[in-house]
Amino acid sequence: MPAIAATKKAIDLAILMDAVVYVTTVPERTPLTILEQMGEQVEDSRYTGQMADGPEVAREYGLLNDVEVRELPMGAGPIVGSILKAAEEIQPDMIVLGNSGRGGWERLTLGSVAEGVMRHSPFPVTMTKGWDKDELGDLLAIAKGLIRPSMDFTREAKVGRIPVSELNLGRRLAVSFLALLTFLIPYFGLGILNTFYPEIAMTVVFGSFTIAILWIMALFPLGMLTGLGFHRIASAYD
Amino acid sequence: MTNYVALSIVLFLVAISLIVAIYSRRWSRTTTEFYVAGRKISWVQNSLALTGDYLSAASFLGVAGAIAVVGIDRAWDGIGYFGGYIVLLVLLAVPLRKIGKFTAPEALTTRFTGNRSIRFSAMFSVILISTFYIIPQFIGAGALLQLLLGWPYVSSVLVIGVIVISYVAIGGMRATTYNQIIQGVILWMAMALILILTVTQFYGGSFSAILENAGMAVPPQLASILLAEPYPIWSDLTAGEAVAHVSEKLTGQPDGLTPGVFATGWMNTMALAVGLVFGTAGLPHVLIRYFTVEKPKDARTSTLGVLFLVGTFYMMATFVGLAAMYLLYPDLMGYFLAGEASIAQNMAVPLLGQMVGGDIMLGVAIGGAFCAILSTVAGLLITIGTSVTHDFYKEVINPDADDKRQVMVAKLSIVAAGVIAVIFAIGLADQNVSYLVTLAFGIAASVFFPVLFLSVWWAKYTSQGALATILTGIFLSSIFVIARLYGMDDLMGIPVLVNPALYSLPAALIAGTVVSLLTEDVGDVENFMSLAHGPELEE
Repeated sequence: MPAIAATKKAIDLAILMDAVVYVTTVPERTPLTILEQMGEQVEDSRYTGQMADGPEVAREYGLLNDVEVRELPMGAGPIVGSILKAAEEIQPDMIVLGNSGRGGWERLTLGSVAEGVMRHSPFPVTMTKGWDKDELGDLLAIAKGLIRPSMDFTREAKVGRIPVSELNLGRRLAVSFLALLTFLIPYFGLGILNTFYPEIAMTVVFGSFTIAILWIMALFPLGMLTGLGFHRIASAYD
Repeated sequence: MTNYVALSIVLFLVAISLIVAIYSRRWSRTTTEFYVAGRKISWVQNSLALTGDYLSAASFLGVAGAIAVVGIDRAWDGIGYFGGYIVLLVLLAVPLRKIGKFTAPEALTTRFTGNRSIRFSAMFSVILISTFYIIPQFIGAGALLQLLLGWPYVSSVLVIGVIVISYVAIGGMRATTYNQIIQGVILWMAMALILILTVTQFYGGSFSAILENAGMAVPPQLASILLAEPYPIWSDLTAGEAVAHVSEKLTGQPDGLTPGVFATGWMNTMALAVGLVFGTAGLPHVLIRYFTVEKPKDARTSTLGVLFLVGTFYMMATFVGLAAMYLLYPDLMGYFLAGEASIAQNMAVPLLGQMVGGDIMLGVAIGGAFCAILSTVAGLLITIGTSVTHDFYKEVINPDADDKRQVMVAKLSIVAAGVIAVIFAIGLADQNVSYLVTLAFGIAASVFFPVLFLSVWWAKYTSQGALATILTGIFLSSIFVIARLYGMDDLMGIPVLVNPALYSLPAALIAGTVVSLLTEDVGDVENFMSLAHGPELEE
């Protein structure tokens, strides 16, 4: 709903100023699990009523009013930063945003994107506040016909299709195993030492540090170094 | 009996972790700075979230607690929990991220497209492993409330169960990740603080002195079984007197630095070592985090961060446990002989905190433990919720379900799993929480590790082979865990070991390999392998 109010405002202003409107939506990218993201989506849609394909709605409404609407395709990222970065590129006369009207707990936990943009933007910002369903009637009618499909939360990597024989699976696995053995041999070695050679394990090296204790304490830094070493080798394959 | 100073500190720490989490979620949405820093800090955030998720009651209370009552042999838990991340790093981290699905079962059906037997048996394994992992968290929480408020164990578990389940089902569904980040920081620092205070106050800054003392004590759990009556009044004795008294009566017994006290013989030792080191790479709530990192490369850097954080954590926990064995000797003996094993097994860290820093440090220790429990249970319940909705509900019952409906189904399954875990936690009160977690590791090491490893690395692996791996792993590991918890020594002539993985992991690998050689359905292998291992295209 706030997005629709903002679209209306932007296009009305563009009619007056004979301007071009750029529209965009930013999928937020966070380290959240899918269920958490869905949880936030559900909360969002409670305020916005529905999930419409925003840029499409704007384009149709622009056509009706003879305003050119261009879509700015945007990769996922932090919302405020992405909006401002896009603004830097197109140098707009004005940024128009809808205020979600979130209150209470929602505002506390999720904050306000509009507020973030206002605070940091070098360009003039217009923020719509609240909305009147009757006034937005024509836009809402368009939006109802353009419901966006459910969000795709998958993060499948973009790769070309390569025959298995060209992936060097064997060599990669060998590198992985080599790294693994660097840690696993001393790891299982501790088990062998403890069960078959307990006297050696209990031998004091200095202070009250026995061989077994020193072995245990050495396994941790050894593991960290193994990880680092593997990372460096594997980075060459990226 | 209520300890108000400690109680306020616990509430303060938990509240702080929640408030900071809320604020940071908000901050990440509304600042530009985040954008600049975002790319750099995403892997730091993720490794902290993984650490908070991973370090549970088992790590915070259980590892040091077990070392305090059994001795250095239980250092295996820490080394294994740590080493598991190396297996994950070199074999699965990046491929899993590139496959980029919601759940481990879905990652499998990306290769074996549309195979519902695989998907459902994997989903069932997710629920089983994660629920089994929650049980010890509730046991730890119950014992903590018992210590803090003096409540009976059963009501403690019930109260904490209701609180944790509602926290996740009502509020925690959104931005649990941010709580885990903060809680990871708090529990790491709580352990560091306890160790520093202990070693400076009682050992003149010498770690060697900690070992020297532990080397004089017969491990309390062993001593409490062997010692004949009459017992001295433990609370009248100093640590030194209690240790000397027991050592005098029980000559020739192992001490705190003797290996092999817990896992006797090579089979037990190797069973524990195998279960732990291959378990992490099979834990559904750990795997699910790898689907959330920004870039495939971040999967590796995040894991490196985790290795550093959990590695240093377990090094500290080992010394805290050994120090606790000696310093708390009269207390631990007293609890064991009074039949309060649930406190003796798991409360060494808070008790040591109280000894070195009074009620304030008792509060810090219990607060740290609550953070560990909250973040881990939240991660586990969310994993269960995701799997039930995504692998079952949306797949079979209602493919057109919208987000709202899915979130509701997830919440219902979260409540159901939580309630089941509470019931089992009441039944398994006297177990060491870290030991129960090692059993969950054993099951994970026998199911998800082998099936994911073979799927990701072997082009000739077939759908029938994958199903054979899952079923063999889940069946064998489950019956040996049950046999162990029932105290059976052998099962049809096969000795029951401290961990099932020595049998069930190789069996699952062999079953998968043999069946794959006899069958042909390799799934969408070219697409899947390109996805998992191919070079990334520029976006």
